[in-house]
Amino acid sequence: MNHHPEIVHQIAQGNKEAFYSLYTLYSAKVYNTAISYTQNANDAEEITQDVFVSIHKYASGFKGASSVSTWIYRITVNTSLNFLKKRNKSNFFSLTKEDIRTPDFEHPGVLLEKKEHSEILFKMLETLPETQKTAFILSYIEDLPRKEVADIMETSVKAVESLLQRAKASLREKLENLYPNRRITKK
Amino acid sequence: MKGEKEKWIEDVLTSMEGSQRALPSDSLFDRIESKVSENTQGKIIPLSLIRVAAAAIILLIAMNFLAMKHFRSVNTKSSEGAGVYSNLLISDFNIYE
Repeated sequence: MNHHPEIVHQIAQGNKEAFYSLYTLYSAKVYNTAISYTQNANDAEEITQDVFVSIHKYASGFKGASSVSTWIYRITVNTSLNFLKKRNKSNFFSLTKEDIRTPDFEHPGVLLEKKEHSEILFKMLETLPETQKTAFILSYIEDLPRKEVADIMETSVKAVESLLQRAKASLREKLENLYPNRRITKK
Repeated sequence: MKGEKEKWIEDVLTSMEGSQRALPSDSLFDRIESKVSENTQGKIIPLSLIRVAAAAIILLIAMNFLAMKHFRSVNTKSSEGAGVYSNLLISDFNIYE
């Protein structure tokens, strides 16, 4: 039996051990999701901090309408998207292109043999619209079931499937254009 | 050639399969706790501040009361004088008597 709602209830009562317990259960999920959006470790930590501060602040408002996991992922997605909006706004006012260009992102957990491919994937992910990006990150990077992704995004499973189809089609098109220009690495 | 391209595209799209979750730094929870404490402390109003606010309100009411009292007494004196003055005015203009 999932006892996570009880942990959230304890946090609302001011129980510090319960807060640490929830952090232990969810920090990697929150951080991994955040880093998929920001492609930057420091920014991902800032988002993770904001998410857990929000969890602490709004624990008393959690009524169990969704699962704790869904609730936390939803806060993470919203916080990440807001962060990106703020960052894009400040990039708009930057004077040089050097400030805007994001370096190639190496996900800390990717398998060594897939490192180069994942760098390209994350570069392409940045070009997707918010909803497609979210559906892709939650489904293929966080590896969540479609039903949970639908709950987090407050939409239907069908809508999630449609977003994923469009995301993959868009990524394929961009990758097809990229293919002739890729670096050939010597084995 | 086409097969190679398709394979490459597929490899990119599935490049995160089998990956481990990235982990935050060990010190992150401490930073979160500090932030939470900061936010919680902000909600508590110190008793000394409440006392100062109460004293200020009482002082303000007292000053208003004294000011009103003084205003009334000044008004009473000046209205007596005004009555004499207005009588003079009236008598001065009794030109038909």
